[in-house]
Amino acid sequence: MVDDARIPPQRAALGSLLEVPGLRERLEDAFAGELCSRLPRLVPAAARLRRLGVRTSPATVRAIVAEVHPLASSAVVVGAHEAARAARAVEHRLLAYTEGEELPQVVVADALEHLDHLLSALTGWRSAAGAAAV
Amino acid sequence: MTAEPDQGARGVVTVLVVDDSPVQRRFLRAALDASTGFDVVGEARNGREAVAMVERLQPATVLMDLDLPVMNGIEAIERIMATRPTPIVVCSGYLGEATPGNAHAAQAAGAVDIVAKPGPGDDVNLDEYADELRKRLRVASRVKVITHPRGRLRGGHAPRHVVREKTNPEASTTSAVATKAEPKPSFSPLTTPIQLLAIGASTGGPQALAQLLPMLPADLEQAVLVVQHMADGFIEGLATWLDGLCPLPVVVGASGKRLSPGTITIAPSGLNLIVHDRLRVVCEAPPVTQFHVPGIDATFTSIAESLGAEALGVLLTGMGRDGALGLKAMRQRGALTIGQDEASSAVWGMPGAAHALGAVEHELPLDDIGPALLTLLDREVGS
Repeated sequence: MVDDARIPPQRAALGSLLEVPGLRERLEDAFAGELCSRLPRLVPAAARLRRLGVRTSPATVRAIVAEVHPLASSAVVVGAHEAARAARAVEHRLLAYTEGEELPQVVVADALEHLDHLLSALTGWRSAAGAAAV
Repeated sequence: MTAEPDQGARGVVTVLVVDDSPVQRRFLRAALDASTGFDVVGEARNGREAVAMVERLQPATVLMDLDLPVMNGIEAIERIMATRPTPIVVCSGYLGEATPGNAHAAQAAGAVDIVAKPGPGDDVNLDEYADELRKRLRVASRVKVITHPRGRLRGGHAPRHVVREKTNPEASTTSAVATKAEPKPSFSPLTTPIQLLAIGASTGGPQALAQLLPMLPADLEQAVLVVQHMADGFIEGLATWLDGLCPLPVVVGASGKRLSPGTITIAPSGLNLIVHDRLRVVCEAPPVTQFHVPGIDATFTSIAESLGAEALGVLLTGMGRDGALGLKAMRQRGALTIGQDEASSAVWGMPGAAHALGAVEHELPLDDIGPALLTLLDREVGS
């Protein structure tokens, strides 16, 4: 179970489905679990992007896209909209560079800014999930 | 207006949920459990598990993500359709503007319907999203799919998994008779000058359009208007895809524009496209009760009123009944009308309904519709 007190307060009202007893908690538990599996892959990949910049390999770009894409959809379900928007922004910025296309500096900079925003937006969830810090 | 097909005394729809995200799986299960009409019989985390679980559990429908580990969704759909054909509704975040090809790839692989997962920019109401999923699954559960040999898919041909609605035995019977008894019709050029070729399609439509529209020559003198049922956000991708296949330019229609000769206009998503003042276009919000948007009936009826016999109407494969009344209105105003036949339809719902209404003047296999149109428009077939 995720401690509600540690979850960021930006959740929107999502409709009566989430008023089903226990469902919100089950979804939040699942989201925390998803972060536990995705962040250990995403955070090192983001670090490689920061370190290598335009020389970052397509495999690293693909690894980032592969994690932020499902994170965006899952974040929407639990109402973590700020994280969802940041994740989708990362995906949109990098999606065209997964097959080895030349990575412009401006794309790297934008992607890193959105990644920082994403990880920041997930802070409460990450601590709740016990995920590794950047 | 086309309402959701009556489900009558239907039983519970069993569903296999396929998604690698535990959040999505839990949400989808809750969304379906919220209705007594559904029973989630299993959850698969990747494409390989999905294929095995469909074989073992034999669900009535599959709700499937595309971005899956081990075996991706497209391959899983192909395998399921090759081994144990099951109506599959794709539910994915990889369907929007950035990846328009995925929706078409999923349909080409055999998916019956596609629904986009709500994204961060969407005005999210999870109750409405859940309701939409249930509606789509309920409709999909009424589709009978038959084996779709994978080798044929891999061969690069437009797939034609023959799918028929279980609940339309009357249409099926009439078509069977028509197929056996009617000789292949011969056509001659129409004497009335044709201004507009109007085409309606739904399930299986993108593949049918991809086969039909490239046959229209670049110097076609008529305007072409296509109404394809499709969820919001996918029409632009469809137009881009078809534009790459067709000699004619393909654009998305908009209010205030005029349909141009020699241009294929696709009706925009989320609105009904109404033709008035001959070839002028206005896009209107559909009635809240309208199930399929953009509505084919709305467009065809407006064409009947605006152009009468100076239009040609074609109703292609699709679930439901949308387009049948509109095609009948066109025929009543003197337009020549064509319906796709049962054998070549992915789903013989709409053209079957049009056939039953007497709206179809000529019922043809998809392969014959293009040549027939060219002959009717006095164009050389194969030019």
